[in-house]
Amino acid sequence: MQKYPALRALVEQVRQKLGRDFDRWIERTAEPVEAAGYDRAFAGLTRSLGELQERIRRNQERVRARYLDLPDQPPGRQRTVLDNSAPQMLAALSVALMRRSYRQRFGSVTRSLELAALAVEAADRVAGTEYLSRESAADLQAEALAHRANAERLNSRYRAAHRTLAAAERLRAAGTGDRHLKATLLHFRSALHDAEGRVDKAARLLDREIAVRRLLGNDHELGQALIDRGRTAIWTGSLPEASRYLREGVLRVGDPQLMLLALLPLAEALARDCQGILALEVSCQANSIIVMLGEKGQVLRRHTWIKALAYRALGEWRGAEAMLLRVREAFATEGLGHLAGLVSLDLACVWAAQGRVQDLKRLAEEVHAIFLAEGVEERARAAFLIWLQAVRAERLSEELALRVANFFVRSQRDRRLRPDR
Amino acid sequence: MTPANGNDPERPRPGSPEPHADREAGDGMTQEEFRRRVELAQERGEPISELVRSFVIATIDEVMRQFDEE
Repeated sequence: MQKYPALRALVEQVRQKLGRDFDRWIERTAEPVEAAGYDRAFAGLTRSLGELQERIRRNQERVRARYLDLPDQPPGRQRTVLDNSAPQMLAALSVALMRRSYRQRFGSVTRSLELAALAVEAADRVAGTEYLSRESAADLQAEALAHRANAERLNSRYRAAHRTLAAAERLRAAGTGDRHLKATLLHFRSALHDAEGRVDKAARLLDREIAVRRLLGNDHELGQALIDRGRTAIWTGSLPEASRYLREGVLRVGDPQLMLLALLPLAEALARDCQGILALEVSCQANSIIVMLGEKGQVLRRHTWIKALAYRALGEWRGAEAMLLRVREAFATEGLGHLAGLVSLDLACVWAAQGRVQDLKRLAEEVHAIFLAEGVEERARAAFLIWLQAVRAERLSEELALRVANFFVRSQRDRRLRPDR
Repeated sequence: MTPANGNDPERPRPGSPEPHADREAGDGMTQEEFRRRVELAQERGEPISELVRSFVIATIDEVMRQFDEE
């Protein structure tokens, strides 16, 4: 095989796609080496692999052509299409839906969940046929479930996401042992822990994912994991450590949108550290990319939030207030109450600086209701109650508001933090 | 709040000047220069990912340079 580097790459590619089925497929398609001689056997293998790749590509093309608008169809029509599709089309469709669901993570999170649910349904239908081996079908189902868990996480349905991920893990255990799938599950599990504020756990999972991705040589996915690791390092480590991860991640990813995501946590950390000018500069650099990419939805919202923090750090109250109000409204409209609550704490800093006692009291009761409903991490709750009492007593200073808001955000991400630090 | 007509005064728009818009990134590429190069690449149908990559890396390096100075 040393003579055939291109073949080796091709074999590895198909091996990853088929998992344990690869060996069975080799048995079926390769000519016996003893009878054919090595060169002839390799030639036969190359031809068969090429044909297999071509068949996969054709199926994907057909799915793209026939089912392009399926995600936009009403549920009844979707059901009809699923009922009348051949298993190989359903498998390709499931993968296409997963990808579309994942792309929506920066756009409509509701849409992301709808697409992932459809991917799960398509995968389940494939599992009911004999198109794939039991192990490969389990892999497909596990991957679809992992995407649904990720979409549930994006919609703040954390408990449901844990349950779905556990189901995905069980299916993966019954699957082919595919390492790409293992890395995907680690990635989504890490994102879930990060969202819940268990950033140490998220960082450990990312370290495991990074190790697997390095072995697999997935540059783009490795880059994405490194950028995420950089984001966690901002809260658990230091800025230089974080920037090393972010830098390596940016060098590896191919998607400009992911490169942009490396700048946002950097700008946020600077803004929360009251380095307003530097934060605004990074935010402005990010803005150039946002405009160029035509970003909307979650990325634009997050950038606006960070820009507001930079304005606040510079004492530009009016601009900061306008942006924070808008971001809060957008989160509330999407049903993302916890995020709306966090933005409110940042808004309280602006109003505390302006001495707007009545506005603060009204805001405090709203935030209190949100956090009661959503539940917050224990130490964050203790900090919030101090904040609430200060507001009610009309004694919330700008400094205390800022410390609590930053502590609250950080404690969501780093359990080692204590109120006295 | 966002006005009902959808005109968002804070939303970034192409060409709208930001504070420090002409500040140089680490490789000497200003935001205006970056936008110009991106437009040129798009007109030629060339990929923009390398431009974005060098712009982002330069920004990270510049932040770390200033951080180290402090």
